[in-house]
Amino acid sequence: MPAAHKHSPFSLLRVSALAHNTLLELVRLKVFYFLLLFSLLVIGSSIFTVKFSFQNPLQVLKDVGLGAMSIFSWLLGLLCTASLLPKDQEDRTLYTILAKPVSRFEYLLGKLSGVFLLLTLSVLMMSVVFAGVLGLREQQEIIELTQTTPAEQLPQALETLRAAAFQANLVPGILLILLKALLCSTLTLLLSTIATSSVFTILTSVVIYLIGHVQGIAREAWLSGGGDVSSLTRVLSAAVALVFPDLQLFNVVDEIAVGTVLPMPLFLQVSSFGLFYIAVYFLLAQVVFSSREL
Amino acid sequence: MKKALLPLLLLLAFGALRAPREQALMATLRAGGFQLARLNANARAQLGQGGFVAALSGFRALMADLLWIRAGAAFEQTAWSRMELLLHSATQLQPRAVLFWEMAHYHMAYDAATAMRSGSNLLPTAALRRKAELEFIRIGETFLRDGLSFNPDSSRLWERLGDLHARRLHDHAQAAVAYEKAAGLPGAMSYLRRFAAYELAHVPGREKEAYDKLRSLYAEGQGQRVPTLLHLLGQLEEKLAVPVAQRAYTKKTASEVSEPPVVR
Repeated sequence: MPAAHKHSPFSLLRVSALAHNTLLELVRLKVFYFLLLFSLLVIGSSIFTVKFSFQNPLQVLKDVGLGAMSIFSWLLGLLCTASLLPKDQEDRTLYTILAKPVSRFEYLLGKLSGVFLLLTLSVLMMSVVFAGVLGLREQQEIIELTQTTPAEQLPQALETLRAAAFQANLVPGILLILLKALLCSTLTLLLSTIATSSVFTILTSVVIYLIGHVQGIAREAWLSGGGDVSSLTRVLSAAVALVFPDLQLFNVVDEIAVGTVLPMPLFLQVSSFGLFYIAVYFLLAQVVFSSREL
Repeated sequence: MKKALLPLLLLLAFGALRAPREQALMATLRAGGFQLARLNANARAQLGQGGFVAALSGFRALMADLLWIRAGAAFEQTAWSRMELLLHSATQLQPRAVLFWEMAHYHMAYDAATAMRSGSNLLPTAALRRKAELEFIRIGETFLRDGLSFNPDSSRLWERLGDLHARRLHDHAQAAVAYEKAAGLPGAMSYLRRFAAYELAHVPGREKEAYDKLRSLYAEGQGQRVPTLLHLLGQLEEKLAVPVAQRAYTKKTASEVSEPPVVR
């Protein structure tokens, strides 16, 4: 009699198969093409829109590019994650998968990993286009400067120009844009394990995104408000600070874009905070999903 | 109900665990020059409700650029007061952008102030025009000082403050202080140490101090021996009655001492 295969409770192979399939599913979605194309168009066309800017063309180009990356990566993560569970339930794939020896934890992890892969690829593509556009504009500016600046002032002018163009210190900023999108996707996954419709998930996720950016104000009122904050305000602020994540912590790219250097220890600190958020929200999603009646 | 209670309790416990850490991390970020923007009522009025929400939602730099572009439109219409409000909001949204502060001060202290003096604002008397000019120069100075509170290590902003005191406010002692500060910061222009000494030379009672500084610059070699420095050395040596044998500057013609050179 052949020995029965021992079933392990967790398999990376199963998770990676699920992640791969999720990625393929998401890549086939029209919303993916629409958002990715639109984001690349916005980043690419910013080379023309900077002509309307006032004395500060490279800065505007960077802000438009990084802003587009931030909004489109968030939107992409939100729309893709919100439709994952309802779609699988609707077309019965969820039941087929869970009928096999795949745990709910593996299923959820595989799905989320697929979204993470998609977001990483998208941000990578956007970064390449962004760097290309910035490089192109930098070359144009260099040609203009060479023609208009006196020879003795040229080295200084070129140095200033290069400092305003694409620099290596933008990379940590872009990584934090990606991390924020991943965090928002995990939060959306948590919501979709609770909600029954994707519309509710999307709307709630948008509201959380907005509140998450002002959570810091509520937290400060709660923790260091002093005597001028009423008890009611303090209780409400505490509720906001305890329930919602602080998304403002990840918005450091605006300062990086104007030349502020993000030291590596600080980058690691913010990143580990983001990863910790992701782990906790994923575990919460797992707690809800494991007890959900399907 | 019970099913919902456990995740909620876990969420609150996680919140209680992370809140003090978030507070500490935010303080560290602020100390490192991040998250310093101030979203006040003026910014809200300039941005409108939608723009204000966008600025709060992580698109602060974009909103600052939008206001900056609108300030450019106000500049073209010479609507100085509107321009000031827009520049104020843009700089508050993006306080680490040195160029914003620099240009905002320039438009106020030079462009707007000159427009006031020339009478393009239709003020009836010269005294009122001069008063309006000074008000805009002070607004420009406030932009610079606010900018320096966010970017204390910006040599460019200190240099502009020196320029403003030297050329617009004619406060040479303050100009010398600003140039001296600018000269000691990273990325400083090589001429700033000379500028600090030049300004000091115009402060009554501090001629000796200025002379010592100019002399020490002169001793550094040909690179520092520009016409203005030589001219001022000559003037101060005359004024301080430095013995001829100890002088650095040898007067050749009377016009060299009395006429200011073009190159600084």
